[in-house]
Amino acid sequence: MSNSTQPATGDGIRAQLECLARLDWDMPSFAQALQALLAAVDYHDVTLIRSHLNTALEALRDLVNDAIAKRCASLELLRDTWQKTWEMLKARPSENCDDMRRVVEGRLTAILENFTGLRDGPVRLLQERGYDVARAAQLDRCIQELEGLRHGIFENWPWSDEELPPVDRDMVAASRAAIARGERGERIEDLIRRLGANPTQGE
Amino acid sequence: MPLVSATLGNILASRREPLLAVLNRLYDQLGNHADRYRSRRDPNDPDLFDYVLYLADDQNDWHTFRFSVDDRQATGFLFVVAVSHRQGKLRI
Repeated sequence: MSNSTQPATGDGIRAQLECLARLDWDMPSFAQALQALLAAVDYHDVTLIRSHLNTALEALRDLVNDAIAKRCASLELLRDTWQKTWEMLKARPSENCDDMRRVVEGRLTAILENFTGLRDGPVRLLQERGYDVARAAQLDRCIQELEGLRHGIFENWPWSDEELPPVDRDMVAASRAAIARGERGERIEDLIRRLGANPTQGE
Repeated sequence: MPLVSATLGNILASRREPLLAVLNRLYDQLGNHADRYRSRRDPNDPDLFDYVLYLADDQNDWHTFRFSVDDRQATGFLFVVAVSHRQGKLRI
């Protein structure tokens, strides 16, 4: 319960409330409270506005707490998904990992923005109006964990346009000297067979 | 060339699966699609082109392999004459 709610009147406030109403909250009690509030705004009834605003913000607080719980629970699934992605990468050496990086990074960034949007939008709005959001600290920890996950995954992910390791010129010279001596080295397929496997082809 | 395979074995600590994954990729791409890579010439040695391969391994490491391939020693042959390497850790 807050004692700092302000009467909401005017087109600007109405526009903001309508923006909130358009979000996919999936929360009937909040939607109902918001509709009642909008009706009170239309009637310019300050007492009713104050009452419905309080009801709406309490419903929003419950909704936000639920949303935080769901998002934080999804982190485990996210880690599991990443592990499966890494398993797929391990089986497939590649000449270019940029597309995969863009896909994974884009998804992680979208999830992080969703989390921070919840923190910087509804959670902050409620806190500034004196409502205690019980799971706010949990959301902060989840955001930190997600940022750490993103950093850990992409810190050393190779971009195709980054500088390559320098060529080992001594090895080049030694190999050429061997070729000049008539040593042509081992064919790759023979090396694979020597390791007890069959050469495979195909992308 | 022997130095290249020995270096690869050292980098991957003779772990069979990642080593075979790299060798099979080399075998497939240089054997069938070398023309895709020939244009990436070594700026300091025009007889060489770079074939770059990225590998994620079972110890959470990223590997960047830069293979130097000589396609001007003998017609119809490709010699992998050197490999250089960079490693980075996945931290999760």
